[in-house]
Amino acid sequence: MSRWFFVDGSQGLWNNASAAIAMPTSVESGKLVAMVAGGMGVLFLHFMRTRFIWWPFHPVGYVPAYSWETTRVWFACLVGWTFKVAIVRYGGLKGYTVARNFFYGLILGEFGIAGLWLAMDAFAGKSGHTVMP
Amino acid sequence: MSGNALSQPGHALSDPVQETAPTEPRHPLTLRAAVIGIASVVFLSVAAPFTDLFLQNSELSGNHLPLGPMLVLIALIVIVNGALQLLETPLGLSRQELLFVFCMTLVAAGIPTFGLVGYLLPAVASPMYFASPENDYASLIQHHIPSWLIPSSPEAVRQLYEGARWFPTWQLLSSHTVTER
Repeated sequence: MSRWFFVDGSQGLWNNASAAIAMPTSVESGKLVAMVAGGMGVLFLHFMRTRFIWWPFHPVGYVPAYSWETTRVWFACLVGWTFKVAIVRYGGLKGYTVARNFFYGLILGEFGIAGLWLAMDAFAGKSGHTVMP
Repeated sequence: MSGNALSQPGHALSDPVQETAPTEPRHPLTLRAAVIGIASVVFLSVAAPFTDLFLQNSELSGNHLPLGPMLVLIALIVIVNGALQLLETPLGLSRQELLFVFCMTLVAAGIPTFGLVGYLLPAVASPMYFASPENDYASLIQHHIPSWLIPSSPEAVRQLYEGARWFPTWQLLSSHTVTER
């Protein structure tokens, strides 16, 4: 069974709670300031996004920007974005539609192989075998 | 850029969705889309805890683009719509129906694991299972938790972590339990 869910995560929850009960702390102003600053940052991104067509950043991007998954996939996203920009700029619509078949194949191949291994491991009882990030 | 313009006959991209779909777009909430979506959700609700929490293989419900909903979508496009295209029937699932099923599985995939149950079950069981004189859960935590929120049977808590002999599959795979790691 997953050690994170059943041991570390659940124990961390109650360890934090028991520590807060045993040794209560006052409100930390730095964390409140950080919350307000984050909210203001999203409002700023929303303001720019809705008023300037050249503004490239979406406020939704602020949410997953600092997450565990993003630390694993940001480079793949950067490479994909770079290829798309280059293909559209230099290949136009024709280049885009031709290249799209190749990238559909990449997506299909990655998810298809991951699914194949998932099914084989499930039937074989193999554990701890991860293909996806 | 129009999707229809990219998938006209003769185009390099063979599109089983567009080629088998009827000319007039169907309403996305068709009965067959709902049935397929519910069946897919039931499948993922069983498969995701088994693979994500128990076997700990590639996560069906993890990541920003979960594997489980993508596999369902790929299966519907490649296998179902592909087969219907080969049979030259107009019964293929439309884009709207595929999107409807994908959204259903996308919302539901996380609930049995990362979204809710994966945290909820250990959270209500661990104050009893891991209680010790060192962490003092008995005096600090347990009396704050309503009785209806936690399992009343210590045996049920033990079986959650160590396996239950009455469940053959669990017994068969009980070498993976956390206590034996």
